[in-house]
Amino acid sequence: MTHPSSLLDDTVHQRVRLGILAILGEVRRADFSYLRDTLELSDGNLARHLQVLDEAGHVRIAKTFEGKRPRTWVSATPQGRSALETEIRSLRALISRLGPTP
Amino acid sequence: MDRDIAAQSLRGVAVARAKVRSDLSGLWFPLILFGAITLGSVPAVLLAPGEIIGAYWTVLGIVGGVATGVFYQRRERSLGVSAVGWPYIATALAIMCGALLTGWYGGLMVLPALSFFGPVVVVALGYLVFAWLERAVPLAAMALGLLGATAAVWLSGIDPRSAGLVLAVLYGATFVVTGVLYALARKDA
Repeated sequence: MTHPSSLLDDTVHQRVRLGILAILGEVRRADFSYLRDTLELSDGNLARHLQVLDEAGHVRIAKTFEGKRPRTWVSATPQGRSALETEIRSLRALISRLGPTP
Repeated sequence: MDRDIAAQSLRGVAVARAKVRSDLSGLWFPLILFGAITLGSVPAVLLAPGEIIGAYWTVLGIVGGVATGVFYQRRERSLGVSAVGWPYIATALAIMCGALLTGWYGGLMVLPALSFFGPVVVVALGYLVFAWLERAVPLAAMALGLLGATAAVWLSGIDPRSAGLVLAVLYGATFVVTGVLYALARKDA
């Protein structure tokens, strides 16, 4: 039987990226500022994590203009949503396998 | 991996999800709006129940739906986060069509109980679906309370027209009060 920890995906499992996917899993799309403020990150830090998720195909990034103001919208791809669900299932399986904290 | 780290990760996911749901929730607006529209239907029920009420809800239901859509769209744009809208739109359409159809069919088949109780039951069930979509326990309690009150009015045996009036006032007032409570809770948060 496969140990649940082997199902954890490093791309998704990292704390900030898991937070990004958790937010995006609940919505159609979120903009860069919303993610940055909600997760309390710097612009550079968020951009780096988004790049990792984008390269893995977990998120889609769209740059738009509203009037003259640029806006970056981020959404989870079906692959990203599925990866998040797998991660959550694996974490739950891991917790139940390891049992209660002594 | 340590159990505590796994549990902490899951907690982080739950907190992030709850924060987004709370940010997106704007329940106060449709509740107050549709509560006011429902209370506004009372004179129509009093004056000419069959003829006017269907037209009243067709027009003001659409106006209320469009106003709610515009409210959420503007809100999402200013917040920087958009909900997945289709489940809400599908539920709103199902409420509208279900309420109008039960009212119309009850009138057509001369079944006053269906034409007065059918629409309100559809509305309460629709709010239960909204509560599930929003994971909003107070909204679910409101919908279940309204269903219980509807059953009580039905079982009391008062004539369907008076029951329709009582329920219009009860539903309208409950929506407005719940909407105001949601708005106040949001302000305090």
